[in-house]
Amino acid sequence: MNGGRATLAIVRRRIDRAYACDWLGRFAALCLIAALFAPLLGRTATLVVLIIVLPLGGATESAHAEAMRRTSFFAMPLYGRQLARAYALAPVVTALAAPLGFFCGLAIRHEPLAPGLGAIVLAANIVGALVALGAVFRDGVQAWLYYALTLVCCTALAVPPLARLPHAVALSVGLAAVFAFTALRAFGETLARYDPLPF
Amino acid sequence: MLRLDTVLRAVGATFEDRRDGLIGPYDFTLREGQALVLAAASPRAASIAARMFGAIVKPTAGTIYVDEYDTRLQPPEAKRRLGFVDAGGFTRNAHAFDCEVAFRADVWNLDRAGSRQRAYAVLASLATFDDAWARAIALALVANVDLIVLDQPCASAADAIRRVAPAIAIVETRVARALPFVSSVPVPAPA
Repeated sequence: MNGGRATLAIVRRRIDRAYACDWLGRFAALCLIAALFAPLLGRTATLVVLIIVLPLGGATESAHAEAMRRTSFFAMPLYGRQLARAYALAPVVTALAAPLGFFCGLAIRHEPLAPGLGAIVLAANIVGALVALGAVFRDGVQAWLYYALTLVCCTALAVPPLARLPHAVALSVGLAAVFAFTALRAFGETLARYDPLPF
Repeated sequence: MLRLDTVLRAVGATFEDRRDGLIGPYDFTLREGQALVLAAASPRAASIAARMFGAIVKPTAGTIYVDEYDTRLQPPEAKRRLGFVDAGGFTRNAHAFDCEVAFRADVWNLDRAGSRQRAYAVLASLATFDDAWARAIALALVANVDLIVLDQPCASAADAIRRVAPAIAIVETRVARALPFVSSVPVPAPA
């Protein structure tokens, strides 16, 4: 079976015109906010917003949940891990819209973020999106536990730059890689075990 | 003597649902060219039963084999050999149907042009049939499948499939009260 072709087909189906408009809307909103209000935030507040608040905001937004629960996706001859990779791409790309917009706003003000910090911010947003995917197929308290886990993971990624630890960038990005890998594997397991029952 | 291949085998397949209680147990063997109607107590139970035989929902007890592939252990292999038609058929427009054919060709790793040709050939031969169901059946037959699972289809859907693919095995689920004469599996009393 050609998993790559199937993955691309699923991604193409998810990333349509409405998705692109939504992405650009997020990007533009954060660009504007950063361009207007960035000086009001200090370094610490900016990092907290970018590494913790943005990923958490993106995580609790569940517009993609309904699309993912459609039966048609589960009728496809794919393993959970293949489906997880294909499913994860669209939310991850969505999660990057807000931080990239913020970077753009800062660049317009000629106050760009250090590249290392930029890498941490992007990594945190990717981790936030991947950890929160676990909540898509769960309801109630279980779903909220995944949001809490998103908060914990992103806070852990924010600690090295906020505490100005040596090698903060390497530490945060390394930690993010571990979190992202674990979250994607766990999501694959979730999909493999999930039974899409009718409502 | 003509010996037909076993396409679907259910061995005590049961699903324990929170709302509808026990669905099943189902014990039967279906060979190529055969059709079976399964009666369920409610529309939800019928959908769950269809999804169980479509390898989408795992049975909580017992086993279902599609071409000897256990749907619990090897769902992708089982799904490659069957076409699942969801309740309601395919209600979207012709453009969406075209996109869906291309999508299925990619996911099932088939030739796009060949899949499109096949889908439209099936659609043409079902021209007098209900639009939504004709499209849904054409989509299910895009891949080279041995089994079609129909979730609460319209009347004569199985006959329509039989016209375009005589060798295919068909399982359809229906709500018990909608079946005046046919019931192949005992239906558990509603809780």
